[in-house]
Amino acid sequence: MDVWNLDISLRGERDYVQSSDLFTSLESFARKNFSALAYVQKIVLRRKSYRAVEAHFAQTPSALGTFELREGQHVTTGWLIETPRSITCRKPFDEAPVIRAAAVQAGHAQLPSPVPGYTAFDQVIILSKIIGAQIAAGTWVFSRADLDAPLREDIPIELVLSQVILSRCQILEIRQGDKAVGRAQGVLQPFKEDSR
Amino acid sequence: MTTLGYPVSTGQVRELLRNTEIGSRLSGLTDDALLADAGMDSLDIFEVVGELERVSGLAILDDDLENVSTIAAIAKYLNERIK
Repeated sequence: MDVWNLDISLRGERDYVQSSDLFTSLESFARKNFSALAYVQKIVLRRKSYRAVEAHFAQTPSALGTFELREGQHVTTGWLIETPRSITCRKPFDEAPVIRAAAVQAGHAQLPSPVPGYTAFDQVIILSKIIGAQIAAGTWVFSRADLDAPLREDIPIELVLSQVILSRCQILEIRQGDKAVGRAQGVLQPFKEDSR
Repeated sequence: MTTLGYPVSTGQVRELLRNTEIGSRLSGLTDDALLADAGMDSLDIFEVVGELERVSGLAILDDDLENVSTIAAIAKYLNERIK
């Protein structure tokens, strides 16, 4: 398997690919091609994508991001490549129900229960924006996640701010069921001048 | 976690950066070469600064960024801040 077309729609009014869709699509790939226990261990996004995205399994210099899929002790590394193909599907998306459900304190955001209709990763992204807004006004975008275990869809997400770098990059601990399961990173836009 | 000894050597800085994405691209780079020549972008800068802060306990500000441009500059900067 050298190249995998990621199944992606644009969300809401966005003109770029939502990181959550990349994550979900990679996770589907991992579970389909490796096993039900395989998961996305790491995803790093260096710029936005406005067109269809492929996962490549050979190093590609023009990659918009990288990822690692873990299945037991085996780790597969891949590169995310923006293709010239337009994305023709669009899905409605509204962050408000997750925002409304969140219990928020300084450097901390938590959901009392998973919000139906949103993946655990969706909820991580939305909560990270809430905490980002506490650090600085502006548009915060997801840039990286490192997971020690697969995110569970049946356990509520909790984020705890662990580091702020140069006032425009946040490192958050992802917790589920009182246990740290990974880290998420978000940056205040623009984090790369050639993002378009 | 990597810990820093004093004085900080360029070898220690390389070891510290091994934990970062840019770390795998440093093998052909001299201590005085720009990390940008190894492809360091703004996301890498956050990671490098974050790692330096975690290991040293220092708060690094925007004005200090010119000090993270090369491996030698990072070692010099850490030595000046730690001593």
